[in-house]
Amino acid sequence: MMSDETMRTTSQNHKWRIVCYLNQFFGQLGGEEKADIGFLVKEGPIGPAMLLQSLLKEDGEVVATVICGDNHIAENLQEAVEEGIKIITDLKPSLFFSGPAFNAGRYGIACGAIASAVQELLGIPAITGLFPENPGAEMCRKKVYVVKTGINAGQMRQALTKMADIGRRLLKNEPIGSADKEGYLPRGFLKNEVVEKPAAIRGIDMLLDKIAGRPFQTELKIPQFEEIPPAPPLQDIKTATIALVSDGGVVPRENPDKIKVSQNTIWAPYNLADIFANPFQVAHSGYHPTEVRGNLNRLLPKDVLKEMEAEGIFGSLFPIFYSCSGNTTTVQSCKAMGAGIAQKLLDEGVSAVILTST
Amino acid sequence: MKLRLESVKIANVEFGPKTQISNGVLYVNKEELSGLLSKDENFASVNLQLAKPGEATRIVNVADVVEPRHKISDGVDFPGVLGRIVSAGRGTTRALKGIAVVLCDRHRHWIHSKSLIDMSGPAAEIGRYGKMLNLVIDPIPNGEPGDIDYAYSVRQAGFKAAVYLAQAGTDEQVDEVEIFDTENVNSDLPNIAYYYQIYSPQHDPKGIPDPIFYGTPISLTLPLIVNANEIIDGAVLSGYTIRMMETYSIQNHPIITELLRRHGKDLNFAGVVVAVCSMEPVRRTLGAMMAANLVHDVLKADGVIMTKPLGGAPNVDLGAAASECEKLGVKTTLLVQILNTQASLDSEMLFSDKVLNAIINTGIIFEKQQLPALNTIYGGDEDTQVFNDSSKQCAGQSIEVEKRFICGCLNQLGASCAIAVEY
Repeated sequence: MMSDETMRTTSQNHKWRIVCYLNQFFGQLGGEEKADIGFLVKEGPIGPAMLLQSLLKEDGEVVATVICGDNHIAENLQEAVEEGIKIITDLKPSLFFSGPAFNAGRYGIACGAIASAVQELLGIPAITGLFPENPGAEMCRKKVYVVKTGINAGQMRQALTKMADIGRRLLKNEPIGSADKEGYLPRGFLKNEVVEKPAAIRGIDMLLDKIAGRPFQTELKIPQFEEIPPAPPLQDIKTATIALVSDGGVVPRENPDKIKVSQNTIWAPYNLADIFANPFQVAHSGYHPTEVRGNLNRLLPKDVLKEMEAEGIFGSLFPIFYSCSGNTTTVQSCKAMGAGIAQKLLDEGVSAVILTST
Repeated sequence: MKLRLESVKIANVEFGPKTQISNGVLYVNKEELSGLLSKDENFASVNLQLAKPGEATRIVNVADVVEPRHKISDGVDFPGVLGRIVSAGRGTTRALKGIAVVLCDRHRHWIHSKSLIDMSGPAAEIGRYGKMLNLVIDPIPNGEPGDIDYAYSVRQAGFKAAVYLAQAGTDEQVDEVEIFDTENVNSDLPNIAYYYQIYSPQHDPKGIPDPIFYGTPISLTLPLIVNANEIIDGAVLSGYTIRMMETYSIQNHPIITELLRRHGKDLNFAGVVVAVCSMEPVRRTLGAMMAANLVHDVLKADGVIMTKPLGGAPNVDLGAAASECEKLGVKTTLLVQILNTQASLDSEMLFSDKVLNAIINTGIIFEKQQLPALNTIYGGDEDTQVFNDSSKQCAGQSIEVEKRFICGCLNQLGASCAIAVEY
């Protein structure tokens, strides 16, 4: 039950109803010995939620604090989140906060999972706060705003201030700046902004710093590519079925699968004999297709493979080739396309592929 | 090699009975200039328009932008293109500042490669040329000329117009003089070189390379040393696929001019290695090795700043050349564009050598931008299809385009202040 005071302010001023989520420790129930405790709801703000209340007192009221033990939620995350969502839904929040959980692993995962579910299912802004290396961070930073925190609760006030500020602006539809400027973890996309100095001058200054051994901050980082072990060699090429896979964007006329000329995420199987026998087009804007149009063997070396097949150099040429366009596609999308094509090839009993690019 | 660049500031431009500059106003005799440019048999006629900041004007089919320049002494205008081959970069050049010649190419070949300039609204805010005075050269094709022939004619018209306008400034009082000269070297300062990939053959229409170096195609050229003065004085021009490296930005090359201006102050400008992207790995390895040797052993550079043209493929050459430089102990910084918005700042490089730890990001080229409808269309009409064939957008409508399509918004050479940030 809400106090009369709470009822009065929420009904009179249409103040936001704020719900906070905390673990047993920050919810002031106890330490590790209370980590198995299930969900419970406390009226009004508890612990860190008190500070959120004072930060947001102009606009909202922390109507309840939802508390759950770290083990209870970690042991069966999906089920526990569903349980939590039911409780939170009944509290009719307009704004939701979880944590901050700093570098606490189970708590971080819980904060991220609950906040993501609240935002998705209730359609209200949900904000959490995590240390960047908390395992919960990678799981939820693309779904909800995750304020970047220090490693422990020493930075409680800074974290909550940022969380409250972002929450307030989300509800008021005010713009949120870049991850770096606002102090949240990157949500997986980039925007152009304008800085004072043109790139040429930044580059020269950075080079002089690098030569002089002064500190400098790169504006792009080298990606950490994973090592892919090569597939084992074929046991017997004489019986191997070999397929062609190409990212050169060759498609039948009218591009039936709508493979995009750039930033493509679509791949499709086409009959090799048909593509040679009928008009085709090139769905790829990263190269000039004159040479490929002139002779498709330049991209898909069918004729020479047919000769080799006839000579018995390898088992057989798979009659289907897989096509996509590899042009400015993200590594993530490339991986997804590659995995899809590879699975299909495996299912069809293909033993080796020749990949051709442009 | 010493270049004296004299600038005359232009505050306004009007059509008038005589081409001349008076009190900072450039008057252009429309009939005379149009007559001069119309002599090309690929043109039925040549429209000329003036576009000024704040006007509700959209210039479409933009194929290049050129700063008005005229050689006063010791050289010819645009050698190899308009004149015989004489070294650029020596003597005196007169430039008109604040005004650009905008070339429109109405030929239907490959609309991807042509961009737009808005004189008001968001594109004018973020694009360089929407803030400048522009003389728009808009030829009407005569019949159906070949696409390459026509592209060549449009460029010729642009360079002719740029010279014609700058000639009006020959007797004017000069507002600013800069002397570009790298003769005196201070041995206490670091030697900085510039590695400049000026061309990538990846988009050569029909396999025919663009004549961008003294009017000569150089698509198979291995790395070579070119004097910085030559580059900014008309030796290097934009290709037919301008892709954020229009001629104006080469004439006012932001890295070269900055290095020239800082020469002897906090660095020695050691020189420029010009390179062309390779389309296959053996040549790429050779090009990277040669570029690094030139930077290290001929220019004796301590550090090199490096840029690329066009799209994704040249990144690989850029990274390979940078790795070779670092192997020889030459420090590198690289200017790189980001392609996608669904990305992070550590996901977008097309090379993976961890030594390359100083990279400048010059913005996201595929970021979308809404643009309002504008009343006046130059370089086409309101039904002219813009951006690309599949988007089915017309010049007269409100449109959504990628940032790369807004001429002067992003720049491969580092002229833009745009930067991609994580959200």
